[in-house]
Formats: sequence, C-alpha cells, structure tokens
Amino acid sequence: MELLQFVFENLFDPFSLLLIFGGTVLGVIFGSIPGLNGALAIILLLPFTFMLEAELGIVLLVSIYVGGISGGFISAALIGIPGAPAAIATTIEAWPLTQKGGAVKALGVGTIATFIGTFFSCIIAMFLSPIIATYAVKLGPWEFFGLCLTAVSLVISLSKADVLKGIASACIGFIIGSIGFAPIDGARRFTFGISQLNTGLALGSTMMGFFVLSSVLIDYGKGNMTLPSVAKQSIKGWGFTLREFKDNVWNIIRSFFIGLGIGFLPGMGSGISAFVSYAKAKDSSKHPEEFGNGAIEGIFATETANNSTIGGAVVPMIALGIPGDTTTAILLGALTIQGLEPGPLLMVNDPGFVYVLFGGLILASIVTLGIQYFGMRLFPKILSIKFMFLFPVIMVFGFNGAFAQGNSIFNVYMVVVCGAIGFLLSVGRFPITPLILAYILAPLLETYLRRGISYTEQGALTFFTRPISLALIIIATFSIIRGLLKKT
Amino acid sequence: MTKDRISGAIILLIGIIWMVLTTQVKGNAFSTVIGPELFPNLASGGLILCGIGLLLRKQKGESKPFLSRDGWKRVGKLSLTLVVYPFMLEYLGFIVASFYLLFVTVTLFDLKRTLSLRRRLIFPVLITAPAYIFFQYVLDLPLPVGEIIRPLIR
Repeated sequence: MELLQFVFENLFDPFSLLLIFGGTVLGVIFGSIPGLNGALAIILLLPFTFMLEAELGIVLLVSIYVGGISGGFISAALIGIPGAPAAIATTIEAWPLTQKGGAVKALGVGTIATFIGTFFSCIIAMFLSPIIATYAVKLGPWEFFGLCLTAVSLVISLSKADVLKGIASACIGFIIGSIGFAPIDGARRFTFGISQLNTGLALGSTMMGFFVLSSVLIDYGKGNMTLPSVAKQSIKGWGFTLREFKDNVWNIIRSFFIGLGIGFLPGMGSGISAFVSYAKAKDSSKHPEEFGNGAIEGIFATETANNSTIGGAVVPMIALGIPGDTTTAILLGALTIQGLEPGPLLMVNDPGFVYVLFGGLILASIVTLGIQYFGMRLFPKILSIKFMFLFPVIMVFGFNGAFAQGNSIFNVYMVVVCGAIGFLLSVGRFPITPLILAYILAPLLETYLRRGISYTEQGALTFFTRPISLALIIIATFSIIRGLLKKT
Repeated sequence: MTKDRISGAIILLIGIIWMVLTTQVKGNAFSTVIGPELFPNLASGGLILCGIGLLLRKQKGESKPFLSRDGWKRVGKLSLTLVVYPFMLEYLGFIVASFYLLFVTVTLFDLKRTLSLRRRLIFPVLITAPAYIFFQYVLDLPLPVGEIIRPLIR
C-alpha cells in the first residue's frame, strides 16, 4: 500500500506531470528534426536532473526517450528522412504512402502503433522484469551475433534493389563501422592519423550524410523538387478505417512480441526489431507485392516493434545494468549519477523507483498519443512548404546537429563525405539501408563474434552447436540465398 | 563496359585496398584469440566477392542514364556549395556560413527563377537568426564562432 502511494505521489504530482509532458514534447521535437535525436535531448537535460529528486529526474528523461523514438517516425513519414535509427525501417513504407497523398494515414497508423507498442510493453515489463532478466542472461554472444546477422540479412534480402549490391552495401557499412578503436581491445584501425576518427564516424554525420545530403543531391539532379501533396478532404479519426486496423491485428500482436522479445535481450536496440518484424509481416502478408509502395501493414509492423522494444529494453537496463542502445546507456548513466545501482538488487532495494520509472514510460506514451493525434493534421502542413525553402533549412539544422554531437567541426566534414559516398552508391544503384544498419550493428557484431569464438574451446563451432544461434544463422543464410536465387 | 561491371570493378578494388590496409591492424595485450583484423578482413572479403560477382554475372541491358547532362551540372554546383560549407563554418562561423548555405541553395533550388534577389536575401536572415537563438540559447549548444572571426570578437 505504501509502495502504491509512493508511486502515485511521484507520478501524479502536478510538477511531475509537467515534466512528463515537457519531456515528451521535447523528445518528439528532437526526434523529428534530422540531425537531432532523443539521445541528444537527454544529454542536454541530464545536468538539469541533478537538481531534481531521482524519481522526477528519471521520469523526465524516460519521457524524452519515448518522445524521441516517436518523433523519428514523423520525419520518416513526412519527408522520407528517418529522425532516428529506429525509424529507418518505417521509412520504407511510410514515405511511399506519403508520396501517394497518404501522409495523414501514415501518421495515424504510426501513432496508434507507437502507442500500442510502448504502453503495453511497459506494463508487461513492469510485472515480468525479474523473470525475464533471469532468462535473458542465459543467452550468450553466439545468440546475439546470430540475431544481429539475421537483421542485416533480412534488410538485404528485403531491399528491392539487387541483393548482391545489398550485400556489397552492407560490407561497406561494416567497413565504415570498423573505423576507430576496435571493440574489446581498443586497437586503433583505419584512422590515418586523424585523432577525430579514433571514436569512429558520428552517427549524426552518417545519418545526415547518407539520408539527407545524398537524397537532396539526387532530387536536385533529377529536378524532383516537388514535395508530396496531402489529401485535402477532412480527415476523420485516425486516418485509417476500423477494417484496416482489424486486418492488422495479428500483424500488430506478432510485431509487438518480436519487439518485446528483442528488447529484452541485452544490447539489442529498436532498429533490429523493426526490420525483423517488417520481414515477418511481408512474409505473412496476403499482398507482399504491396510492400515498398506504402503498405500500412509494414508501418504497423515496424512502429509496433520498435516501440515495444522500449519496454523490453528497460528490463535489462534496470535488472542487469546492461543498456539496449545509446539512449538507454545514457539513462543508465543518469541512474548512476543519482546514486542508484542498476542490477538485480534495484528491484529489491528500491522498488518504488522502478515502478515510478515504468509509470513515467506509460504516461509518456499516453502524452505522445495525444501530441501525435492532434499533430496528425498539423504536421503534414510542413509538406506545403516548398522544397526550395524546406531542404536548405533541414540542411542547416542537420549540419549543425552533427556538429553538436561532440562539438566537432570534423563531424560536419564527415557529413559531406558520407553524402558523397551515398550519392555515388545511388548512381550505381546500391541500396543505402543495408549500409546504415550494418554500420550501426558493426561494433555489436564484431564484439559478439570475437567473444563467441574465444569463450569456448570449440571456438567458432559453438555458433553452430547452440540451437538458437544455429537457427538464426540458418535464417540469415537462407534469406540471402533466397534473395540471390530470386534475381537469377 | 556496363555500369554494373564498372561498379563491380570499383568495389573489387576497394575491397582489395581495404584488405591491404587491414594488414597494418595489430592486436595488443587485450586482444582475444581473434584479433581486431578479423572483422575488417571479413568485410573486405565480402566486398571482393561481390565485386567479382558483379563483374562475372550476366549483364542486363543498360537502363536510361542516371542523370541528364543538365542534372549532372546541377549536382556539380550543389556539391561545390556543400563542400565549401564546412570550411566556412570552421573559419567564418555559423552565422556567415549558414547565411551562405541558405542563400546559395535557395537560389539553386529556385529552378524557375520565381524569387527576387531581395527575397533570396531575406530568407537566410529569417532562418539564421532563429536557428542561432535555438541552438545557442534554447539548447545551450555552442555553435562554431569561426577561427578567423574569433580573435576579432575577443
């Protein structure tokens, strides 16, 4: 009873509600502007949380986390530029739907999927985190390697482009991802004497360069300077019909559990779950030929999965002290700064804090629902701004957002380099998405590969003797071979 | 030679170069049984195989050119603008560099020449000032002052 009172007092205090609302709005804004992201917003507000009590501080930060993931979807849908890695998969369907005049529908589907994913995953995680943590920790680097490899192979096989070129793009992404200090031993690689490359290429530089700059170069070169128009008739409800929602119920449930399951695994992020659920949705669809052309099944799958990963990712963060991605790593840092020790004892020593955290996530998901519902009719107005005004502004924010990550002008130079590489790859009709995912997952893949080989006497054979690892490697191999054979 | 063959040759070359660069990567006392050279070697090897695959596979008929001649000219102008921007940002600071980028890009993007010079000059002012305030004061993110400008304002 005392615990419940403590949780309610901390969550429903007017100041706390204001923090949740403000944090969510800030997260959505940061997530939706290319070059900025939710993690940056959390870093900026982190010093401010020192002045607050631990419960209020973490509630603010997790609200930004939820808003940031959702915000990334808005720019993905409206201008075809994912605001966060989690939204890369969503761009594949949301942007073509917007180009066909369905911007509001894309936003509506994404909004509902976002809410379902975040809200229910946090509720499940809140009650099951001790049990789930016990099982998650039994998996090892072999299984995690298999999962990351499967995500990359699915992206390659799903791309409409040439699978062989998709593999080449992924290899380029792995190469870019291996620049800097190597994981495990910190050996310096491919820095060419440039100290700024010790930490590799900044994520902001690569996202901005590959997604924004290269597409602006292509659009300008082709003279495609018209933004999609938005359907003029008044939009009722969520922009899609009840029938369309009912047709996707199983898709949503399946994607939810894919995202939740992947989120529970330490070190996995939203980007992986979105692609895995997208691939599954396409495989199970009665109309797989519609994928890539604005299929709402795809949007339901990716947004439900990447948001259900939020609830899942908080479990290893709280129960094991292992972050799921950059943002949860920063949240872990915030907990430590407040004097809390994430790990199995946190639930025992400070259960009130843990429930306040989950409560903050749940309330933030409700606030996000409200913001996006009212925003659905406002956000598409951005498409009425002419290309010649909109994209210069996006470029200024994007370039300086990249600068802001590390306060480094070098990041801005790298934006131009990545933009050039992205443009040249597009000329050769190489897909960009496998490159980006491979770049993001490269450190994880290498870490798990090297650990997996060195942990047992069997070495690399262990990847094939553990059932889950073997199954994942078979899925990854099969999806690539199937893609290659389809084209011949 | 088809475009695919050219692409294949290029990525084959990149793969070989990167594999050669990887020979200079050395492990240290903290390295595991498998060192830091494994992963880049696997990636380079994959690139080499893809390059060979693109060179050897049956070539499809050439599709239409990626860009027209005018399109390549436009890309050239925009590329030059974008390459200059980081240098301006580093040496002249955010305000001057962003004004330049906004002015030049809105001029380039105005293909039908609908905007007067006055409007093309007002637009950068309307964006640069709020953007500066947003980054510098709202987000408390310092922006580049410019190596040439910095001594002048001290």
